[in-house]
Amino acid sequence: MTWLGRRDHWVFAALGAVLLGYFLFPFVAFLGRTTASAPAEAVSPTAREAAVNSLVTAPVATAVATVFGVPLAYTLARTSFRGKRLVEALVVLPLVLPPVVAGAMLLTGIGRFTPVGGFLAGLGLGLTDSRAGIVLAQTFVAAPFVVITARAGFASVDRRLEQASRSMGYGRVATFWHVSLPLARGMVLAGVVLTFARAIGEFGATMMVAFNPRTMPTAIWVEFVSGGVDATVPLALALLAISLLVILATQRIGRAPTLAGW
Amino acid sequence: MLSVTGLTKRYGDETVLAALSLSVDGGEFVTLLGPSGCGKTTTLLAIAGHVTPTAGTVSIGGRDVTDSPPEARSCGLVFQQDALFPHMTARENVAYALAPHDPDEQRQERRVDDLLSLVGMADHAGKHPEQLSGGQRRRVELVRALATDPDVLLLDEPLTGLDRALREDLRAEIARVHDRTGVTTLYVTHDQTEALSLSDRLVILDDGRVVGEGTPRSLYERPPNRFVASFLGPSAELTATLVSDDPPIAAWCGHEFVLEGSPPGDQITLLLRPDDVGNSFEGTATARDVRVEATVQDASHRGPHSSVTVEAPDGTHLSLAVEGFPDLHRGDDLAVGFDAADLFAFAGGERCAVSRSREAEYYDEP
Repeated sequence: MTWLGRRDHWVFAALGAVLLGYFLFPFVAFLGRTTASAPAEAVSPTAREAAVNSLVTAPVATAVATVFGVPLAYTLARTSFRGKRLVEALVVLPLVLPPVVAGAMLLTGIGRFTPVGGFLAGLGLGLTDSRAGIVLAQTFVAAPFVVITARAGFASVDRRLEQASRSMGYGRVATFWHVSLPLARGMVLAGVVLTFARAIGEFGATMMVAFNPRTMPTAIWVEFVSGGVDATVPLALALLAISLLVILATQRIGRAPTLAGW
Repeated sequence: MLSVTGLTKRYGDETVLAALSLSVDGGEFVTLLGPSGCGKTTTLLAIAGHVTPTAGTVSIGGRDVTDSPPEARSCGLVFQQDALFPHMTARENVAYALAPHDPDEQRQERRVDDLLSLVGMADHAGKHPEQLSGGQRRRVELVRALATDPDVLLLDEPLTGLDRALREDLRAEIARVHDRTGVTTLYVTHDQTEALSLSDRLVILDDGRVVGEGTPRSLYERPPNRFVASFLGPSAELTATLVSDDPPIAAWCGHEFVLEGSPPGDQITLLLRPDDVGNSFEGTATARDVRVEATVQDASHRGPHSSVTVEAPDGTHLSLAVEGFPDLHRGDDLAVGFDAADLFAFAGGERCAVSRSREAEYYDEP
């Protein structure tokens, strides 16, 4: 605060407000399209099925991303090894790819006519056009968020705290549980929330891998194609409400702001 | 109890530790002293198992632990700056350290209480680190490191970043805790005062190598080389010239000093500590082996004594201590005197003894 006086805070507030306004504007416009029958349409059988699919797959995808992503984040934060840059690039890659391309790539790997996909389909576990397929698509696209955010969280934990814990007789894993994870908790949780938000909203990759059974985003797309923007309103509102609720609940449980870490 | 042999650590081309060896006996308090960047902390972390040495062995309690993970080494660790777990209270910090070693909760609780009382922190047990002052945090950290009843206590500049009064308090506290527990201690610092006042023995490190080892007194009074001599205390450097080879004689300001052995090179540095210099103002310059007329450059008061700097005829600046607040000012004449036995003579960094001084037979005016 050397060049900025106390009263100059409005500069930040004003610039931030521009973006906030831009965020808010489509919401308001969209809500303007809402008709009295929208809530009723949102509970139609098709809409309900889509909601159930989304609410089953997104948490599973988030759990999978967390279970495997947090250890990866910790490893990246704490060790250096040959080819680490390559690994880091690989983690960011799904973020950079257009989701449709990610979906196409997944299809070439696990599609019904590939060795892996074919084998599992033979066992009755179809990886495409199934909930499993939805989870795979969501995980691929959404997992980088938890890895990147948690990694930053672990990197901010003072290494000496872990060394102190080790010297007290705790192994690597125990030290992770008692020291590293609690101290990085805010950032890890922020990553989990971002991953969930990305997973439940995921459309491009999901559509390629599992157009059926429909999730809320794919159902919304189908509604849009057949009935235009107005037809998407009921489902879109439901998706919005569910996402908001989950994010608020997670924030409350973790008592941590989602982006700030602590 | 602790012994380190040939410890070497290289990062790429950079050698941080060069075949360092040291040992600490059971119950001993040894200080690893050296300027910053000399490899002290790396040595400590290698002993604790947090840095993997390129070569060398570490053994604790007679057991080779070179390949053991930190949790299998029984080292208590106190860091340079706060390393208390911020998500735990003072009590929980100590209890956490204790937990893997004593499953009995009641006994654990009593021990935590005992440890916190040992450093007067019992009343603050329920506070989180951010509610404690810097000194209180160090105290908790000290007993947390002791909680595991470690074979070796390793302290890495634990007094850094505290104000002077607090440092002195804590220094006394560390000495007291060591007396009470008798724990084998390796203390790392760059501060000579801490090292000289706390330790049974000093190991002096420079550039990843041991350059001196011994009791504080022996190293202070008989430094093995120039680095140790100047690192352990301030001293004036008198540049003398070798005027004869057999016997080797060094000359400075009309005085000659007979050296023992055969010094390499003809530039001899004579080091002189301020407390070994007498002066004509207090009448302490007479009856000394060497007496030179000098001029006062500066006098600054430092509590019980003043530090006076004078310039000798050859331009050398000498510091000396004068009691109280002497009436000495820049430009005043002041004769200073010292004994040849108090000089440390170094040729090419290595020490050579001064046996005696004598008046120069001929003397070129400077």
